[in-house]
Amino acid sequence: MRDLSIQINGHWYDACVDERTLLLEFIRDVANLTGTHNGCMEARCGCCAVLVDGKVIKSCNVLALQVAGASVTTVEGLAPKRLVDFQQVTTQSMAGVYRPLSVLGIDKEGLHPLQVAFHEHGALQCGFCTPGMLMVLSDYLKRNPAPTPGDIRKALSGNLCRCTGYQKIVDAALDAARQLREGAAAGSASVPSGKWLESH
Amino acid sequence: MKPFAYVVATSLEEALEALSQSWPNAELIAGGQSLLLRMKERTCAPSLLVSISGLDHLGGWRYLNDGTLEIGATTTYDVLQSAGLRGQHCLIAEVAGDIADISVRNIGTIGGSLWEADPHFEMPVLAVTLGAEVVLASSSHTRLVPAAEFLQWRSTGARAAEIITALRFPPLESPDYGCAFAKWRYRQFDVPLVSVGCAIRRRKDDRIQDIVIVVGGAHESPKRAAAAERSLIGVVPSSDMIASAARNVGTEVAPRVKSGTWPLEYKRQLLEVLTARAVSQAWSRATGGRA
Repeated sequence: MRDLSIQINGHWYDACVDERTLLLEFIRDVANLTGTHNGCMEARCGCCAVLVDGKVIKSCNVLALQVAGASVTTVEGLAPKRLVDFQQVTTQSMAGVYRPLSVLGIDKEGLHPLQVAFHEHGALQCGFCTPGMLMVLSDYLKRNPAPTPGDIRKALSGNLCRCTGYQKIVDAALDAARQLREGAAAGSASVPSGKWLESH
Repeated sequence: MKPFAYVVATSLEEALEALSQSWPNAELIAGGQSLLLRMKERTCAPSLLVSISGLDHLGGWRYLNDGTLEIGATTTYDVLQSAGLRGQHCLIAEVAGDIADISVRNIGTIGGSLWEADPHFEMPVLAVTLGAEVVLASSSHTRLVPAAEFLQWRSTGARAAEIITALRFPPLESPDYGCAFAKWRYRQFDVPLVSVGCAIRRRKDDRIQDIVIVVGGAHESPKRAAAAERSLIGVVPSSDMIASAARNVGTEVAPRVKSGTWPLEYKRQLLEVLTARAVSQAWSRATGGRA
């Protein structure tokens, strides 16, 4: 057993864990952040993608000890806003939320442009792969702000979606890229700070 | 995973010390992208993991005075793909930028792929194609081993209490030199079934002076197609000649390593296509795009 501290979404989590603990397990079981999904545990599906010091990695294939002291951002840290106040995010509890924001009567302030675009384009059905998609895209769009559809498909090659057939995810990613570019050109802070909310 | 102890090395000496004390049940971990997969499957169960990712001087790349490119063992593919490498060394960036997916490139390291010595991996094939040397440090000495020799040794599962500290690629700035890499995989983030690296030096009279063709994924370690290479020396490589040499490569380096359920004959056919692709592109680069 080892003492270990990892900063997740701005909060330090300290725990004494088994050396074998994967970062994914630390996030879900120690920090209780269940937005990061456990899909395959063999670095194939990408549902567990998180940012470590700003770079996306698959948390099921990294030991928690490897990122001791690092700063991790999970999907919960992408934007401060919550559409519904969930204690535990599950596919069941999310089912009513997968609709365009206008239908839900919610404005897009406080959401990451990727999240807004995923809502607008219906880029998810069961939603299991979405956290990974969002995290990979949030890293990728920083590197390539003006991607082609082919670029997006290549960037998402390590993320599997069994529902959508990817087309809507690609559409959403292109839309989000455009929003981010326009936001950057206007110099506005269209990307929320990503600070984790105390209230959640 | 079986239980293990975990040590974070703060210096190369410390890492070597920890490694030799628990030898042979210790493994080094940098990115861990291959190692952790094997540990999760329990096909490997070290009693000690020594983390070397914090050793600053093992990361990053630099040019030595004679133009040799030295790449530290824990340099990630992500760093390599955006590295401003000189001349034909930019093939290393090209290949690194197309390995697996973003998440793996962000943490996977070049030293790890050499140590892992998986017959399908791209970097070992490229290292042999470009004539790289592996810098190995042990508690008593440091030695330089040609990548081909190192991989042949590692592919048998042999190990020693040594740490790859860097890879050294010879200078490749001469305009008469061209190299290329071709691979085929079923899905974008898979390891290739087969891959082919080719490096060509052009003579003043626009014929091939020297050529290296290296095949990955066919044998246990990257394999040079010596006879096919000889058939191309001193010629102006027409597309017919390249096609015939490619067929020879398929026979000479007949695939014998199984990849999943793919038939070996399928891999052989892929090999021919990829060889033709790699050789024509390398020749085109060696002639500055004239051919």
